[in-house]
Amino acid sequence: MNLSLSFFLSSYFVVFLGFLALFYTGELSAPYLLISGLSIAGGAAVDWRGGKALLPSILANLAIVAIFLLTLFSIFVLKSLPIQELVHFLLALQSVKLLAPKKRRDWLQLYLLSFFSVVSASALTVDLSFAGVFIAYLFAAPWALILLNLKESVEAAGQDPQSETRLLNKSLFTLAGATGGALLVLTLFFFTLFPRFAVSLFANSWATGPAVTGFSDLLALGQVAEIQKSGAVAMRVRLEPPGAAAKLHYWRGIALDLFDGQKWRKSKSDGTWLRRFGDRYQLGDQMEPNGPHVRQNIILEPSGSAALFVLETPVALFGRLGNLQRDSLGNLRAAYPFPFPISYDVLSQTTAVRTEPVPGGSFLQLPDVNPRIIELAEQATEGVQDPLEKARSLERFLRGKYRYALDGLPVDVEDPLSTFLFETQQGNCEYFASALAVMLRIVGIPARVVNGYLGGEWNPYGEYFLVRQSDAHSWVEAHVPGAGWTTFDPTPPAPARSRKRPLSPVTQLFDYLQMRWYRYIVNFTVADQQDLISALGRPKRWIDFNLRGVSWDGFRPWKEVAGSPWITAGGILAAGALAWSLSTLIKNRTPLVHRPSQAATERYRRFLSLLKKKGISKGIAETPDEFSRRVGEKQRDLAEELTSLYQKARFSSANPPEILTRMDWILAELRKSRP
Amino acid sequence: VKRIRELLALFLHPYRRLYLTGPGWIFSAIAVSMGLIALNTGHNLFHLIFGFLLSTVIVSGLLSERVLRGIQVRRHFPSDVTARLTFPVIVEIKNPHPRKTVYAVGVSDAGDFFSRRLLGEIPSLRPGESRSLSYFARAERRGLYRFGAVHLSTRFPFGFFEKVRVVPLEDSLIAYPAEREVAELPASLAGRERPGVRKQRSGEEFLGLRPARSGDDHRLIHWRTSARAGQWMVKEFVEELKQPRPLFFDSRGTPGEHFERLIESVASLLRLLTAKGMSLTFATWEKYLGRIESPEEIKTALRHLALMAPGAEGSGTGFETWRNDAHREGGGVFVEGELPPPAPLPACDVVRL
Repeated sequence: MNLSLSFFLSSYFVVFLGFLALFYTGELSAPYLLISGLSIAGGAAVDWRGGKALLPSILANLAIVAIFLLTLFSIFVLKSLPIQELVHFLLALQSVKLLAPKKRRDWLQLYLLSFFSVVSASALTVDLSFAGVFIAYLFAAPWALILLNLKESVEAAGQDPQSETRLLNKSLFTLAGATGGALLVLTLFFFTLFPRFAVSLFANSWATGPAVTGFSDLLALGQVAEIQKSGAVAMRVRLEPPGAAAKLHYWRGIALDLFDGQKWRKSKSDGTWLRRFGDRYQLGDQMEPNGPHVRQNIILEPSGSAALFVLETPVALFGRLGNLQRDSLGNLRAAYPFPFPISYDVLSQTTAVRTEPVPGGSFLQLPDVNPRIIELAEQATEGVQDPLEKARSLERFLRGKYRYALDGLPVDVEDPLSTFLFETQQGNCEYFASALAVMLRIVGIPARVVNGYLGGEWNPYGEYFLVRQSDAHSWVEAHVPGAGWTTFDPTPPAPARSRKRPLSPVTQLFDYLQMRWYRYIVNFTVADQQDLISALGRPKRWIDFNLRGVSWDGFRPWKEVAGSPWITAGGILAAGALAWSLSTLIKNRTPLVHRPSQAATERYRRFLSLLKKKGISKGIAETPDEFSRRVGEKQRDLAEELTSLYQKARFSSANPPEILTRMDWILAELRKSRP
Repeated sequence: VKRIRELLALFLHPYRRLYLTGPGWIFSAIAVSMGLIALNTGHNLFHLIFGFLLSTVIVSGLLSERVLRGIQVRRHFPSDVTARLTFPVIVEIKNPHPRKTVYAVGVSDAGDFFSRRLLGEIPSLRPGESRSLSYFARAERRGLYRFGAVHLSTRFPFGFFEKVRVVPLEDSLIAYPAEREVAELPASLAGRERPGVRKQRSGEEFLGLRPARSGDDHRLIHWRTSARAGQWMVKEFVEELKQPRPLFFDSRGTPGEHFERLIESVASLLRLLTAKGMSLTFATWEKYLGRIESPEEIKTALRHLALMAPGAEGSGTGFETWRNDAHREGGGVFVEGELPPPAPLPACDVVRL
């Protein structure tokens, strides 16, 4: 491959990576995707053939001006999102530049556009896909710049880059690879050490995340079912102590107390701002010093909701989350929905009684309830006096008599609860929870509906729970005298066919990497920096602490696969081949110096080693000529000729390539012959 | 103190220089902006990209240093240079490293007598490989000239920075006075059979042996002694040579074009007479140069003329020695300078050039 072709391919790859980075953000509309894709393909085809550019320079300049004006119009008149318009502007500009004639400056501009595309993508997504593109960019962009620089140098020397093939050798590839590796290491080094401030001067309020959940102050029946159909990741949670993982967990999000027959909402907005001490938020509740507790490290995906999810009774929260509120229902929420994944730690007491005061009648409030429901509630609790037992009876009643379903839900009907209880008799968690809350209130027990997530999937690689949107759940908290707010879940288990399929080991591994990416790159904080600095004095302790989440359990399925005799045999063969290649490479490693004397000496050494294997060793005081005469009769002629050639190359200005070729031939002959 | 002075000199005149290229300015602006954006937003992916830009600067510095470090530079130029005659200069660049390949090196050279010029670009220099770049130079006037440092520059690897390694090659040359046509020669200096012409030496009495000099007849080599001594030895004979013709240049005057022309004329006269085979001695006010016969002796005289400033009467022993020679020889040649000849002069031809 010549220099020109290599430069051309590398440059288009860099441009493509910029496009790919934007593609993964999901912000590109179909027309832009099509235009950009076509322009990359069209530009590449024209440049490959060396034909005339599709767009003359004048037209290209006019198009750039038009694109700029259109972008301004779109932002200031049509009030489009600036970041989206910026992305479109970059892509349109790139398309024009690709189709126009290209000189050195144009290539540099294309690299610049590609870089801006990567920067824009970093503002729009924090997905692991960005990490992939970024690492590829980190290797590809320097390589393209190196080639551009070499191409210029070749042209300045009056040579033709199209006929230059000598430059692209192992040495350059090694150098480029090492450059990429060094860039990666140094990037991580600077990333880690660059100072961060506890508070950003400007928040990322211009970026928005996908609004997928129903975790707001208003929940219409049937809404959670829509969420449950999504398999998207909601959050990842690591628990301490790890033994806590054995239990089924209710990740509490938003509790609602006011029901109008169709929707649940909060009766009032009474949130108070939490006091903050550095990264620690005081939740007001005092923790029992020796009481059971669980610490959760939660990485929450952006969802368009400001709700924070916690387990049981939270006593303290740690993180860089700005201002947080807590209301009388125990709901925790941020000031605004986070556009990026956030990480926070929560310390919860597991047996604590929720001591929030019972606020008047809102927990006993009932809409215009169908009398049949009242009758049903009374029937289900007939003869039971104890409030806790009453609640359990109602929970059992609903669990036993009704079926779980995500389809055919009574949505858009006048009285969805009655339809659920008396007609369809099947529904999802929100119908069950609403029915229980209403029936509890009918029998005089204060109750509220809570929305959050239930359980999650255990990731054995990172030892954390992967909670997906399909884990969204509604349940009930009832205020039972003596026990405080107690959790009741009337929803029966979902039938086997509607249960989500578990993630494959590959997906789990990928998710684990994603979790690490979120934790250590996207959510890297000042506290992490402080940890790193303090770790300088005690590295072992730091490594043990930070690798505590890494588990080999996840690799067990792989071990089973590797246990197959065929795979094992293949692995051993591959390892052997690799070892042999490496040893050959090291053994035959000759200096790159093109000095005939050195090359001849190297061959003479091989000759000596060959004869030594055949039992003829050269004495220390023996001259090469004396030694060659001592070699056995059959090989003597060859040995003498090789010695003579060696001396010629070493001590005279004889023609080296011919000598070296002849020496190689003699060595091959000597290998074949027997002493 | 000496060490501190050396370090200070190195700091003030570093052997490495760094310049931002056009794309480099844009790159720097982007890097600074990215840093500010990362600080302001606290967005970690911006920090990551900023880290990438910073590491690009570091890697760029390391790789450009890798390219420039260790390259050997030599400058070759003729030993005899005459003013107003172009002469070739060859700059040889060698990569002595056994493994490292050097990429995209630009070479430039400068001197007292020409401004810095880019000699060319070397796209790659493989291990052990050397490349020569040549150019023509010309000194307009006689005198001592110094070459400047050779600059090796590279924009490798990314083209954002241009790093220059200053290779301080302490080369200098003496440009002999330019050639000038000497129109009229005095009668005493014209023709081969005039006094001062060398005689044949064959058949004369053997005097001794001496180390050979450039221009000696190889037939006079004494082989046995040469083999024993490890250097060429030649036989010397007693010669009945007449004393060489003593020539004096009155170097008094003031610096300027007229004085330069005089010097050039005297140098041309010396070249002309020695080319004709005449034996001369040469003197100026400052210095008595003795016999001017062999090429080395001619070079010595030309070097003296190349570096000469206007002299003053009695500023050296040159005139006295020449006067004694002229008395002994029974005549000499006095080349008149800007001022009238001093009195009294011995019996000699006074030449005005």
